[in-house]
Amino acid sequence: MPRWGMAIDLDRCTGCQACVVACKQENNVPFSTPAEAEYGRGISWIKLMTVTEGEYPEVKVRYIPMFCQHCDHPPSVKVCPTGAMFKASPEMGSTVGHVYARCIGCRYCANACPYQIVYFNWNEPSWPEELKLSFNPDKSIRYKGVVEKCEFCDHRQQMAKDRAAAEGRDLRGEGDYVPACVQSCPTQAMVFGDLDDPSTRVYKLAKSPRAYRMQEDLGTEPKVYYLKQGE
Amino acid sequence: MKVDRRDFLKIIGVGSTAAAVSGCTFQGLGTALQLTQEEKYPEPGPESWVASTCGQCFGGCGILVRKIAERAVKIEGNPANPVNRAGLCPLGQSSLQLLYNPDRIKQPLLRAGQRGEGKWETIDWDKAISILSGRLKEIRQKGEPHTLVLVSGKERGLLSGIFQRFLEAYGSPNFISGAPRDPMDIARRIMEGTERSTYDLENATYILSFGLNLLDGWRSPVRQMRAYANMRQGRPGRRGRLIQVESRLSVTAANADEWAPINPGTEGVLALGLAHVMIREELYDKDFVRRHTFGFEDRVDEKGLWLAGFKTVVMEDYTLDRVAKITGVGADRVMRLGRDFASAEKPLALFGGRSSNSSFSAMAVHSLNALVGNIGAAGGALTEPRGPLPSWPAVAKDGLAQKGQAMPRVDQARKREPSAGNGLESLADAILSAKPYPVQALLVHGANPLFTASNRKKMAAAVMKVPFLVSFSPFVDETAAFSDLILPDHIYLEKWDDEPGPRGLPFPYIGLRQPVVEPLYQSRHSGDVFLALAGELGGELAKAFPWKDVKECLLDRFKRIYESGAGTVAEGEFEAPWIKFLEERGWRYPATATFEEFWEKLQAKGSWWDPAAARGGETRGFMTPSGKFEFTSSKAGRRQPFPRYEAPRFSGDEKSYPFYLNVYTALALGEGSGANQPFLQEIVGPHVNMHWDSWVEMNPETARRLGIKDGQWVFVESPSGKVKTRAKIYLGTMPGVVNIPLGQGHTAFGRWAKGRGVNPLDLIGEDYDQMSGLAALLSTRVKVYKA
Ligand code: SF4
Repeated sequence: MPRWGMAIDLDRCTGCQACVVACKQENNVPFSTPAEAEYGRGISWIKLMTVTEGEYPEVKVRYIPMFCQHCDHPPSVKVCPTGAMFKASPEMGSTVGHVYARCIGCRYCANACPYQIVYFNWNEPSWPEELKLSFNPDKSIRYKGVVEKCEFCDHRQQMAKDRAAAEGRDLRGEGDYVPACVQSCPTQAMVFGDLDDPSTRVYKLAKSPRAYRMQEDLGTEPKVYYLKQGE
Repeated sequence: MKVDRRDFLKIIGVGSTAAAVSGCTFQGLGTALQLTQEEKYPEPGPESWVASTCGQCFGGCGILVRKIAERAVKIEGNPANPVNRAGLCPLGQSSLQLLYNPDRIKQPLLRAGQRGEGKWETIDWDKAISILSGRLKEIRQKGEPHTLVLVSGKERGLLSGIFQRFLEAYGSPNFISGAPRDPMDIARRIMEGTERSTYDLENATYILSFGLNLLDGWRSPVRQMRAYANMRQGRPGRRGRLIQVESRLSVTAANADEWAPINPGTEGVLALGLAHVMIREELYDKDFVRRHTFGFEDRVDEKGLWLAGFKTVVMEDYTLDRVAKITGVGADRVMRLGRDFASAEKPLALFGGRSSNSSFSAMAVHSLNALVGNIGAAGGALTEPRGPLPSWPAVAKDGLAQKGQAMPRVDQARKREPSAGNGLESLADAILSAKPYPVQALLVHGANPLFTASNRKKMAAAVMKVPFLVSFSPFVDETAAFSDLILPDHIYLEKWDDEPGPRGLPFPYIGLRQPVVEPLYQSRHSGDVFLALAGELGGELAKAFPWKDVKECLLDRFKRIYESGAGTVAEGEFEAPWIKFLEERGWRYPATATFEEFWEKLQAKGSWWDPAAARGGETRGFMTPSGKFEFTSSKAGRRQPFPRYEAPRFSGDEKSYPFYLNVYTALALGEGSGANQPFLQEIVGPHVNMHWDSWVEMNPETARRLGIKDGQWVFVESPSGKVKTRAKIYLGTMPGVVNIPLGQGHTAFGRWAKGRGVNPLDLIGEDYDQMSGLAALLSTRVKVYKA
């Protein structure tokens, strides 16, 4: 079974936020009200982080898409008191998943996560009736009091598995499925696949001299690699 | 035993540990424990996919829409499409919030109260069409068909073709395009004789952009982003460079290797400074300049008058010191940029700015392209290939139509200056002054001039003077709010249409738009409305539209393209070289035996293109009087300010209004059309952590001096108006400039747009670029103070 991971080439990424919207539409993530957004309570499994460095006029602004890094040693899983937040077994793709039904809303995970990408449903999510027509039936509607975060579009993985099974084969390390963000990326800056399979593009990109991981020193062993701008 | 935090919690039970963990509030926990909620799955159903073309901008991206039963649930980029190749921008992704927007108009509305009062009577389509056709008949009977004006947000494609044909047969010269026109096009019209410009971004290796929002909404956003990514990492070992010269650190500047802040409106001077360096150091393409250009050297005209050439003026007037002084860009940097540009493998200079001298700046920037000889060359400034697009048979015009069409245009386009296009803004003056004649009916489709015109207050006053205003908007936007009749069009996901894309695609292209879902409400395709109108008006008008409905009209169009033998249905990434190879040898790929087969394939794949017609590198036919690229005009006696510097004009004196106001557009909201979609409202300002709102960007030093803190409410005031918004400290702001994004400040347009933020156009002093008639948006000074 692949060990799913992602590489994001920041030299291709322009910061357009297509991934942000694609994710919300795919995963039935509620949009914030202006007031919630103001409180920093909007939910956005992937969001664009802006890093501004320097002093005027020598200023550099960098855009970095930020979402669950699917750590091999996830601090969020460690602190979850109920096992709602879990690390999938190697047979299941090694991602970090979350079972809403077990979540008690304590938000330990949200605090423990050094990447700040676990979101809490402070309010009951609501949509006008019309917009409910665009719900994705593959993904559940969450409710007030649980946390949620990126799951590498696990529902897509399940469907890809079923398709592969129907063809009598295993899931491939590349080409059977990608998360919604990757699919939408206009510049193909995001590449998804099996980090253990040397034939995949993500494997190669992760080995690039430009590649780094976020807060590597924490020992979380993230499975998301960023490739910095430059040759 | 070692107990980690998780074990600890398990041992003693969760509820009682609440107090033990510091730094958390347990508000959420409490509520969660009271709930017996379960996650629910939305209604499942059979899955299907429909290929169509995105309609959130004119970019022309191909889409595949995922449907579950009759619901559209997700939009993906279509990998077969040559414009976007599977990618989509956030607008494309947010389209379902347009389709399923709760504020859509559900059937035609007739004004019930005063203009703009918001009282409407819902009427059926028969009545709606008979009201409109009655009015149009009346105007025609009075013998004044030319007093009908139609504003269209698009100037290309099926619908705009129908509009123009209708006006022609009806007898009005007044088709007014609200489509964006950029100053670089105007420069190319003056210097090369054609506006059909495209840029070979895919092959450039050094892009020097003077304020162009290349990566943030210009023309075909996804195409440009893809070209950029390819320039960076698509050619191993040859990473292309991007330099952004701009008065604000924009998205494009953030992605650039270097951001060079510049005094607003002085980009042209910097460009000529670079030219100075290139000429002085003999770094320009002498061969190109000698063979293909006019006006570089001094000359004596027919009357024996000595005229300074480009070279002389640039060498005398644009010395490094002067350039540095005007632009604020250091002399060293000017020199380095000049050398870098000249020595790059495939350099390309681009301009995008909206000051009162934007044509001057655009010409200055474009002259850099001529100096490196990249016009018509790979990686350079190309001319858009003309599509085959066989047109419909000519309209037979009756006497009235002929008379009406011969009348001057109401906006007097091309009268002021030869290169001036028709401007939406000039419509306001024409209506208010009733010159050259009063406008009796105004139809608006796909545009919202009361929100986007730089003189929108004047526009509102003008619109009140028009006795009959009709809007075709699916939402009650600012313009629709003041209309007499609203005939809501479908959302793009419900209709048949074509999308020829914006100017500048590197190949002829037409995206097919087909209904993804049945129309949700009693909206109607505006094309069908016009067909019905033509039928009601009868005579030659009816004859001009022989089609039963828009779909038939569209089929007819594609049939003509099919029969012309050019191009093919776009199928995937690797077909292009193959098609080219075959076409050059006179074969057709892939051979579709019949039109029916072609049409079926088109519906499955979503677009048509003609990669073989993409322009090659060597052709250089300039359509100027001299047949060459003209640094200065070859026409005798033509007032030619270029390349003499024209300083930009600003309203408001420096003392009372110390800052330049820079209003800018960003991808998410564009000029405001995205503001009714929550997904887009959420992503308006990641760099300043703002959502659902406007803000004014300030340099940290400036803010400190004024005692203004990040997030504080302030007034921004110009001689023309005043708005209240929050100040955001943004390092990418020049000390003498403040920036406000466009797109917010709606006073109508549904629950999610209305009342959010401010429209900075309310601050703009009305002014125009003289050469092009383009509205100058960077034309105002402001002051900022605590609210
Ligand atoms: S660039 Fe334009 S056409 Fe393409 S996805 Fe975005 S809005 Fe749609």
